[in-house]
Formats: sequence, structure tokens, C-alpha cells
Amino acid sequence: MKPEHAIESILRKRFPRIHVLASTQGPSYERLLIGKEHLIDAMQFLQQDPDTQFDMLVDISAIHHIQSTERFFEVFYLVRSTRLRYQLGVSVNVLEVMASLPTITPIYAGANWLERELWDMFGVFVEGHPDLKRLLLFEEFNGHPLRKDYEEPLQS
Amino acid sequence: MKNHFNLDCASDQIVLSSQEEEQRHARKKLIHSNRFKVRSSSQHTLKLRPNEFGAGFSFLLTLYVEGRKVIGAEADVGFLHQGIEKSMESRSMADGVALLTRFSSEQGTSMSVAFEIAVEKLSDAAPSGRTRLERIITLEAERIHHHTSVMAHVYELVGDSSERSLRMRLSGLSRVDRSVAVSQGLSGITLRAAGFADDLRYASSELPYELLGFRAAVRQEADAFGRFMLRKTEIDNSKNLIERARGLLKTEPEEDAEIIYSPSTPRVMSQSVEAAEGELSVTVCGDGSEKPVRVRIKTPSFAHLSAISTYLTGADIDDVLLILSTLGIDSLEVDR
Repeated sequence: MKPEHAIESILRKRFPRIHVLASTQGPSYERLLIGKEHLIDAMQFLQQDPDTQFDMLVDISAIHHIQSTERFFEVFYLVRSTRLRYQLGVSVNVLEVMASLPTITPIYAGANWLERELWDMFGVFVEGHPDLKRLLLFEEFNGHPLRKDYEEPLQS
Repeated sequence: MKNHFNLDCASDQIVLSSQEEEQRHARKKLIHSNRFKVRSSSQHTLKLRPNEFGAGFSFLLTLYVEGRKVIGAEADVGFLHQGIEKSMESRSMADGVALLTRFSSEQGTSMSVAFEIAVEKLSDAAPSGRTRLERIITLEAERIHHHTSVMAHVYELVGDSSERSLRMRLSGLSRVDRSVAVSQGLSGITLRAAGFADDLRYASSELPYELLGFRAAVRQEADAFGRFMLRKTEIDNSKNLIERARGLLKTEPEEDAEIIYSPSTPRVMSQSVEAAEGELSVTVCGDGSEKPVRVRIKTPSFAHLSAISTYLTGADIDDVLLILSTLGIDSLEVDR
């Protein structure tokens, strides 16, 4: 059951403060690109609004883009409405230098480990996370392996 | 791979900027302030290590107990980390399918099917009706295999396979209601055992379950018994789905042509499938070449293990291994 209107237009109409920078309509779901400063408002709205009801967080991860002059991470959030049976992708671009994002754990409790993995693998700092530590690697590990410029240290 | 003992690999020191130093410092402070605190002499910490006899898992489970009651739990993962997502970036899309199929004995098929569909969407390719039906057959066969192995483990721990014994042993254990499950991102069996017919097979435009008359099985108990009995029902349902899909397959024409994976334009595509334990999501970013820029795999076991405290809090320590056995967590899928 797809929502009656595109999520982008619902957001524009009901929450004009949130600027949707770009959107793509995939075969079975939409992807929106928003500014980092609107992330919390947007996620809260998408979860609680009766027209959207994206109550379940499916995934959080990132893609490291290094081709452009300013390297950045495209951090994506996948959310799903268990009632409407519809999925949405929300992306936020953050510059590689001082890469950080606010936590969404107060909105989606399931974000806890996903944000820890984001820090562990990409080094994107998650502000306000209740327990930000590495998830899959050990604390003394240097670097973040899923960055495109990560090089494995030589064994001595 | 986690390495708590050999710290020599940190010899190639990376010089951190002052901002990174600050972040690291803030993070360490957070870690210490958020550690679970043992508040009275009746509270204890119990660690179940990956090699613990009878544990059957490969993560470190820390239980906080008061008397015999579990009041909190934490899992520490990464002991089998294989860097599968990084490894996928250096392989062609077609090789990626083969790698994912072999990666996990429990839900490798679900991973590769989700990956295949995502790549097909990136390539604007449409699979034939025959391929779609064959995918359903393999997914349902995997579901039967997974549920059977979880049930065998539970039978072993309960020591009896009669419904009466299972009810006595599992009823009321590890209750997770619908709202908690949704907020924690727990889909699949956990949600359906809490009375909510959440199943991606309903809304799947890529896999023609509607042609097979699919209906999700649901139970109301929201506990370990409900989850266990749901597995039994789902095995029967999967057998029926396979039979119907095989029937439809006879009407589909034979084909020799292979789908060629060739993403045309740079795009990101996510695809979820209903794996045996719940929603399994694969995201593929392609740049137009035959190798993916990024492959992300999110498995249901990851969600289950991240919510381990929800499943175990309130349980008696005697029941911890039994509860874990009913969850069907595959550590390989968490570590990836």
C-alpha cells in the first residue's frame, strides 16, 4: 500500500522548514536527500506523521565519495512503514573533514548499533549517541576500514 | 577479526588532528559514563564467552544479574569479522552473487537474492517469471532449513518435543510486544508472534508471492513459545508455497539466457527480502562499472542481537541459553 502522495510532496507541504535537496523515485521506494541540520526534524516527522508512519528503522550506513574535490560521506537511513508497507531512503551528505551527525537513537531505539557501526567503519562521529564505541573492531584499531582511502597497515 | 590481545598492529600510528583527538576523548568519556553499573552486592556480572560449552554462538554475552534474574545484557561482536562488504567492492557484481550465497549457511540465499534483485534494478534488467519463481523456491527452502535447525536446538535444550513440554518450558519467556519490536527494528518472527502480520512477502513486487496465495502466519503470545510454534507453522506454509511454485514453474518456458549484470548509470538501490528471521536488506551503489562502489548488508540477526537486552531482561539465568536458541541468531551474519 503506497502512500497517496509522494513523501517528498508530503514533507514539502506539511513541514516546509525541511528542504528536500533532491529526490529520486525508485521502482518500489523513494530516496530523499536532505540537509544535515534537518535530519532530526525529518526523521521525527516521518516516524510520527499519520500520512507517512515510517515506524521501523531498517538500516543506516554510508558511501564514501572521493571523486569530487570535496570528499564526503553519503549517509543513508532506510525506514519502513509497517502499516503502509512502504520503504523510504533518506540521505544526508557530510564532508569528510569533521564528519559528524546527530544521533537518532531517541527516535528509533534500533539505531544504536547501526550508528556504532557507522562510527566504526567510516569514522562518522555520532553526536549525542548514548554509547558510541566501536562495534565490530577493537577500540585500539587505527582507521576506519570502509573508507575508500583506507589502507591496511603493513605487518611488521 | 577482533584482537584483544595483540596490540602490535597499532605500530603504524596515524597522527590525529586536534578535532579527531577531541572526538576520541569525548567518545571515551561516553563509554565510561554509560557502562552498566553494579549497584548492590546482590547484583553480579556473568560473562558467556564465545567458546562457552553449550553456548553455540560466537559473541561475548555479558549478563547483569540480580539474584537469579537477568536485569540487563550486552553483546560484544566482531570475533568472526571477515570484511565481506569491503571484499564485495573488489569483485564484479556476478562474483558477488556467488560469494554471498556461500557466505552464510543460514541465510546466504536470502542475501544473494536481495543482491541480485538490487543489481537487476541498477541494470534496468527484468528477470523472467521462471527466475522469480525459482527464487521463491530457494528462499522458502532456506526458511525450512533455518527453522528446522533452530527447532532442533530448542528440542535438544528442552529435552522433549511434545507441545505440552514446550509450552511448559517456553510460555511467558522473553516477551517482546509489538511496539517494542517495531522501535527496536525487530521484524519477522518476533513481530508476527506478537500478533502483527508484518511480512515483506505481502508487498513484494519482485517475487510473485500473491500468485501463490501467500498469507502470513500470526500468533498472539509474543513470547518464546509463540515464536517457536510460528516456526512450525511457517515450515508447513513454506512447503505449500514450494509446491505451488513448482506447479506454476511447469507453465513457464525453459530459458538458457543468463542475466548480465551491467549497471548503466551511477545509482544507489536498496532491496529487502523476508528472510527466515526477518527483513534482510542489501544496498548496492553502482557507478556504471561492473564492480560495485559499495555493498551494504543488513541482516535480521544484527537487529536481534542489538536488542538482546530486550529479549533477556527479566529472565531467569537458567533460561538464557534456551531463549537464545529460540532466536536463531547467526553470528556470521552480524560480523559479516
